[in-house]
Amino acid sequence: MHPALSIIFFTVITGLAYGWLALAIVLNLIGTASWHDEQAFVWTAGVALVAIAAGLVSSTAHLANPRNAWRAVMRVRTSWLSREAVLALAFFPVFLGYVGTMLAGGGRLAALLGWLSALVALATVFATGMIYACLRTIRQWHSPLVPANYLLIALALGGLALNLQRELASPGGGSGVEVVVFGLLMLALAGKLIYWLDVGLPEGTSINTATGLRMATVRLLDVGHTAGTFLTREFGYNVSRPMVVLLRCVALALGFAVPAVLVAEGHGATVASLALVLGVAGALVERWLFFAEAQHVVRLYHGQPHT
Amino acid sequence: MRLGLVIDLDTCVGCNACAVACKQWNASGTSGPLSDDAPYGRDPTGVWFNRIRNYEVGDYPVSRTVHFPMSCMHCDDAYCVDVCPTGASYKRAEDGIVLVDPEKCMGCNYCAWACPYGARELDPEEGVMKKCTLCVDRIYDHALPERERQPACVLTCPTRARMFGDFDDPRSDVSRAVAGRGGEALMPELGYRPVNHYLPPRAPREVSSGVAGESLVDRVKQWVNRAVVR
Repeated sequence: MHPALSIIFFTVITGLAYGWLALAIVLNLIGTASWHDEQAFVWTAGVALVAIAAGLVSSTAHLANPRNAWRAVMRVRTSWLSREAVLALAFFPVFLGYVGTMLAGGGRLAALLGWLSALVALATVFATGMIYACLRTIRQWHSPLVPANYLLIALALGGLALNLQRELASPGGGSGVEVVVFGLLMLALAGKLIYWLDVGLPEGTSINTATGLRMATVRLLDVGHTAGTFLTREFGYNVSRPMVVLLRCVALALGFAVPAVLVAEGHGATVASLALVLGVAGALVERWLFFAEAQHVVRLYHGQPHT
Repeated sequence: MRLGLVIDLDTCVGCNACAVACKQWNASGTSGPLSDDAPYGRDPTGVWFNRIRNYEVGDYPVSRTVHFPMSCMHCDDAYCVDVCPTGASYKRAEDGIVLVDPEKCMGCNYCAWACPYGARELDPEEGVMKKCTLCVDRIYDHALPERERQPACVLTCPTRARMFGDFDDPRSDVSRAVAGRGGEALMPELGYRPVNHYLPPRAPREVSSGVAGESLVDRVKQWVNRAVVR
């Protein structure tokens, strides 16, 4: 699949922000972390909301007809894209309600809105994953591991942001946050490894089932177009095998392994910032690969023997 | 009603007349224009509802060419419609035709991702998704004589390799052709239940041309060649 940069940026940046807020809210509610003071709280909320808004605006950049983007909320009953849009929009009032009640002194309503905000944030990330996982046409995406990866990576990136926030508020802290973030990074790494093992297994759909010509070998003689088409531009993206292996290693190292070591062993805001920047860079590589490696079944009609 | 096409892969000669007739009719019809970019340039590209690809089946000398026209299959389980977030894509209850409302489409390409058959193409000029309408603006047009109320591709096919009709009616031409010739849907394992069906081509077989390589010496040479390869 063509890796559209606007979508890669959108999924990584909103995932980070939703994961960050969900994690921060829940860790505060269960008492593992604290917002420290009002100023830090407002900053966190503001930065995360700006990141989410930037991601949502970026996601409209790949639309050919963005003036109809508002209609994307119309088919919640059947479309995961619609569900994602509705959840993303619903997050704003719920979360602002939480911020308002927290600033007014907290209490039961604040706790309720907090849990609800975290739930909507994670549901939005899940819906983003399901946009891809529900497609039977792309076997690398049609897997429950896809929404699991989206959730784990969002929480891991959110954890890196939370770790930086903790370092800024109380240097050297020593709360339970590092342990949680380290655990999330390891889980995200394991999830991605399992996903890559899983997509390595071949599947039944082939050029023979695509054309229904099962009596003998089938090979393409003439694709029928003399230049690129919408189909070749959208689905014809190729990335070489050595490149895939290299980028997988880069994504795992940058995105998960090195930040995990930095979180566990490092101290200070600089190290925490470095961990966050590396984590985001690794996640961008991971997300680019997620698109570049995906092979749509239309490629079978263009002569590829298997997807 | 479940309207759709039957394509006879045994008789299709790959002349591309169906694709041209489709482009001609639909570029000026309700889906038009089907924009092109540099149609007379080095890299001509544009929107087509119908594309023909050519395959070799089997290995020479037991082989044949199969010409393979593909357009929207108007699937019973049209997942392209389910994934559409705006409601622009819809499947008509009365005849099963899958259409796009250009007033609602936001051009997100999601339906094209959901389609296994490459039937949907974005028109970059209008920013909306386009696809085969089964010539919905022809087949119900009472201003046309009855025999012309058919999709443009079906009317133009010189070898009559294309049939149009109602798959719900067991006596229709399409239903009888599918039943009689073992017509098949493409990629049934994905579960989209396409309405369009393809009549299989006859299996390739070796036919002696009687021109070259038929003397005893040549046949011995051929046998030795094959034995050496083995």
